[in-house]
Amino acid sequence: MELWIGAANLGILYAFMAIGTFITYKLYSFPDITIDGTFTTGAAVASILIVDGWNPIMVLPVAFLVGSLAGFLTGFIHTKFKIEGLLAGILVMTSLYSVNLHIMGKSNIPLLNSSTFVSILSVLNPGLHAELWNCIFLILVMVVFWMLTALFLKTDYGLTMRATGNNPVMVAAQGVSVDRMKIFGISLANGFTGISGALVAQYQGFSDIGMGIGSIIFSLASVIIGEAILRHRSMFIKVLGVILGSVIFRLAVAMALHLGMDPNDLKLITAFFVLVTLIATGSFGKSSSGVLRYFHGIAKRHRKKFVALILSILILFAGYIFLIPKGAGKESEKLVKIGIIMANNSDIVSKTQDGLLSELNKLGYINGENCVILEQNAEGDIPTNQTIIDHFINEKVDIFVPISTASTQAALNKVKDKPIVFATVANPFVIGAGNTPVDHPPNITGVYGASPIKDLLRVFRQMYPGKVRIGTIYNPAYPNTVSNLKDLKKALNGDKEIILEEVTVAGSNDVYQAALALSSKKIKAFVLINDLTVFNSFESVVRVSKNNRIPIFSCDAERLQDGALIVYGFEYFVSGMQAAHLIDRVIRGENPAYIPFEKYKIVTYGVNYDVAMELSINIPESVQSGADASVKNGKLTKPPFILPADHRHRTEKRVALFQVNSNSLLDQSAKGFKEKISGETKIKPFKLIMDEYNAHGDYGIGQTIAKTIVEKDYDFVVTFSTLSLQMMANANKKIPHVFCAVTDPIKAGVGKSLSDHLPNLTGLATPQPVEATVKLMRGLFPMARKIGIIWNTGEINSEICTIKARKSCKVYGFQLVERSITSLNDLDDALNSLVSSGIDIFFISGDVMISQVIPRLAETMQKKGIPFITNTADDVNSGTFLSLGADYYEVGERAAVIFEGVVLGANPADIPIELFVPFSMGINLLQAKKFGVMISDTLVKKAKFVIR
Amino acid sequence: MIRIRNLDKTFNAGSLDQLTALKEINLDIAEREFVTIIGTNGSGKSTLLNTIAGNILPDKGTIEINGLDVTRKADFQRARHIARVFQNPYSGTAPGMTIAENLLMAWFRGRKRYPVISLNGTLKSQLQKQLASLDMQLEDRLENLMGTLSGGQRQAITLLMAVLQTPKVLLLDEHTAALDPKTAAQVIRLTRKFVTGNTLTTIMVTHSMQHALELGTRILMMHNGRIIEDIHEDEKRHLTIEDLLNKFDEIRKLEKLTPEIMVTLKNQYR
Repeated sequence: MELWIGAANLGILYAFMAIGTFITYKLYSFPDITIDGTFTTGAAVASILIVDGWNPIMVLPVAFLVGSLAGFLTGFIHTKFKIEGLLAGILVMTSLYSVNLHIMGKSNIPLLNSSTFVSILSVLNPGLHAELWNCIFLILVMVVFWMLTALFLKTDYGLTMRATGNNPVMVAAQGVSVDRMKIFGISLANGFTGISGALVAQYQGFSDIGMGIGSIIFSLASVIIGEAILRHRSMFIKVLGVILGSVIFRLAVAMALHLGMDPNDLKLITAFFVLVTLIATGSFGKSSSGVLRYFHGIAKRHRKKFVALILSILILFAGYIFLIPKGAGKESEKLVKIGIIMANNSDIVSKTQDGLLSELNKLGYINGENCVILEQNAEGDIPTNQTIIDHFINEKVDIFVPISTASTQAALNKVKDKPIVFATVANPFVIGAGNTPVDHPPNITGVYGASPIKDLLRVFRQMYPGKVRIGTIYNPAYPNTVSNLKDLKKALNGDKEIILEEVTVAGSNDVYQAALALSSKKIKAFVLINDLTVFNSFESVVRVSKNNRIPIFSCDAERLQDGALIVYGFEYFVSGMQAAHLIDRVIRGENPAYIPFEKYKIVTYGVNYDVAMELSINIPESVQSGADASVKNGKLTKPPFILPADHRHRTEKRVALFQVNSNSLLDQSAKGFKEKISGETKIKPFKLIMDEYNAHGDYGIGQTIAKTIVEKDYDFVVTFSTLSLQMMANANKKIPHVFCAVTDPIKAGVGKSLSDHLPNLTGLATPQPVEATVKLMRGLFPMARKIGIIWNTGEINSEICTIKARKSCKVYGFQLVERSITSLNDLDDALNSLVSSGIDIFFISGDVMISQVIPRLAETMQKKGIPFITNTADDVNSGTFLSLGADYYEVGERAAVIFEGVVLGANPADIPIELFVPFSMGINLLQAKKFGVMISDTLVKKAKFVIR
Repeated sequence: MIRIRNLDKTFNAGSLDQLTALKEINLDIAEREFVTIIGTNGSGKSTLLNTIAGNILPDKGTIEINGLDVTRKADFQRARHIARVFQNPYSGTAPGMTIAENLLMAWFRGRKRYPVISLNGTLKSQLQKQLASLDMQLEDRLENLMGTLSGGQRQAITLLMAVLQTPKVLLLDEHTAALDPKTAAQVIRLTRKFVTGNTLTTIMVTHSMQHALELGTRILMMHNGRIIEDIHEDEKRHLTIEDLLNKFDEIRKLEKLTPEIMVTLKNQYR
């Protein structure tokens, strides 16, 4: 519920701006893009005054006045210099960017610990849900504002404004200054926008230089929605329509997120929606285009239908949200259908199947009672796997469970919209099921593990040292087998004394001959990799083994009783058990996308003493004592399969990972975090359900995501980047929150010091190592005088780094020559002016925007012969001379460690924010030679990337 | 009432399209005079009207209205004294607003507007009475949008709006030219009624020699930016269309106009 009320609240806050746009766009037909800047201006003014101790309500008139001033400028430029309205708006909007930066003094002002209208309201709250209470208040305010605006537009002055937009020639003839009316209207609209910005900043808990981008489109969308749903001549209804339009727009955004749509697509849909509605309502003006006229004609004729369409969509939305009880779908009578696909009848497969079925049973799944379990076997025929899957699709199977590689591959190709849980696959990555255990197709998870060939070879070497010849048999048709063979060869790589003889087979019938062929090559042992064809006629190999006294070393634990001398392999029964648990998790609603592939958990090292006796082979003491399973006098001894206790008694923990935007550093830290968490950690006993959210740089969507996370009541939140931290910290005061990839959390407003911070969060501060870099520069270039730096004034991080650089340069006797830019378009000018000012070193630090063009900058600097130094290690691969930075992958991993502690019960309030800068350096020795710089070996050794 | 001295106006000065619209215009119009202006296309009659209204600022010369020098004042600043009706019947009214709201705009012509609601029942019934005077059955359509009316109806309302607050000067710029003959006659009838009823100082530009002769007390003939004939009341009373055409004929002789142009002129003023 919080999601929807929160969205409605945002809608009301944005409605002030939408009403402004109604005035400029609907009354004056003037699409005023100034508001993209004014919105931020309002927020900036409000924030700076609130931080200064102003009453959060008193800042609103100021925001209004400053906003009006911006509007006045646009109006003035437009009317007095006869500059096209859109262009005038762009001019003012562009200049407002600098103005906003000046007002704020930096690109981001946190209001987390300041008094805002939200905090005032929460004090007055009689005990209602916080968002609901805000909503009631905002509705009251909006009703008053609505009445006042509509009444004003009905007064003589408001009437004159409307007439000015309608027929400027006429109002001029009636003694009205058209210019003055236009300027007034635009000023008023921007004043309203300023109020909107001031309120949104307070509501979201910070203001940011980029928060106004796209306002005009959202505003237009609101106005257009309003017009579509409420068509009436009354000013009251028209203004009400705009307010509702704004609320509906925000609800639609929330809806899209709720349905799991990619927020990126939302922008396209919004733009498309605005376009279609513009055409349909004929707001595009007197276009002469035949196509537009045609569509307009249709829309005009079907206006009622069009409005009805929009209304019915809205009603459907409402119905979906409020009427359908939560989880109704799950409670349906339909039993969940589990379809098990087996590639063949081999032991490996059937053991897996046994483990799977028995464990499913233990977990409470009873076929025919609370689930339907379908089983089909392809009997070794690869194409049959496809057919089975087709059948299962027809049968409307809910979960596909392929056992072995061949079945899994078939399922991967066919099943895209249902979950797949595979079992007993040696290497799922070679068949296209992803790249890592966590990075895999969203509908698939499962149990895997490559055979422990290395361990098997180690045992073999204990028994057969020196120069030996071994043989192996395999069917190259199976991708898994080929991958196993590669592993074997890799394991043999370090051992030049073992000569490997390989023979390929095409079917089970070939195996006997293959084994014979190998025996004739005087091999000491068969070392068998996992290959279903070979194992299906394992008896053939055993026959040759016995007749020729050649022992079998196998990677398959099941082969111990069948005549292998030594086995070192996974227990496929356990693979089935593990798969059963994964199936259980998926049925319980976990998203397979977030379930990492599991490796086999139990390995068996066994010795068959009967075979040893038959072949007259002495088993060394070391092997005897190492093994945990044995066959003696036909009797198998094996420890029981017990999955690690946590496996059966997991506690479910839901984690939300939140990123407002993406760049390589943030993504690296997210990756580091996820991989660390999915590896061996202390929190394995917990069943972690990870949901990832990314707003792709859209603040509004970021807001809604933050609300969604709170509404969905996750157990933990992890954020990457400063902005993500701020949005989340503002929306959430109770869910434990771990943050990372933040330069300066104190400046971001989440604490007074590293140990005194908001009680529900903790994390890492990772500043760019600016001082260390400058120090290194001094060491490498003792004669250098000038360091040139370019930075983007819009990024708080870039600013912090530049300030640090100023200090460090003073300490190490450099002169820092700065050029600040606001967009990449200004880069070349800044660069040229820097170079011509005679800089000795060129430095870029902590700037996300400029980091996009590092390769280009590097090329320029190489041409000019100026050493280029940055604060991101792998920039050196893009051509910098030296790059000293934080390893963000490690940052993510470190965050995972802190996260572990929090999951295990530590209170974030007690964990100080950690200053964590894992140095990571990249250095280009070729360039060093060119610059005549000596790089010490110790420095080279420290570098992660060295270019020679 | 109106005193114009040495008025010059050249468009696109210094370019290939240079056009002298007004040259050395000197004109005095007394209070309550009703002046009609005729002339060839491009003779400067509309420019003269626009300079008086303030839409066009002259290059040289002065304009006084009621003893006040308005030469450099913008159109909306002169609107307190001057009311106008345009040739385009859609220019004088706002289509997206109701008739009542349009009339209210004129009600406040040249006065300051405040954020108060004046359009109440009393004012509406007053406006309704005024509408009735048009005799066009519009009095019950006060709340209708202006855009729903015909061109003739809108021009009639524009005329009413012009005289709603009695102006010192009424400027009519070929205000019947775009209407069909029947509606034109209706609007001319209303013009006569309002002008004589309010005894206004009026300047009317027209293409119709008949209207020029029927209406008003004085005729100005313009050609090439100059006033070439100024015919006062006594002389005008005996004037015929033929006489006017002869006057143009004289210009022809003076300026060696070709007979073809004469034919066009005659056709134009028939």
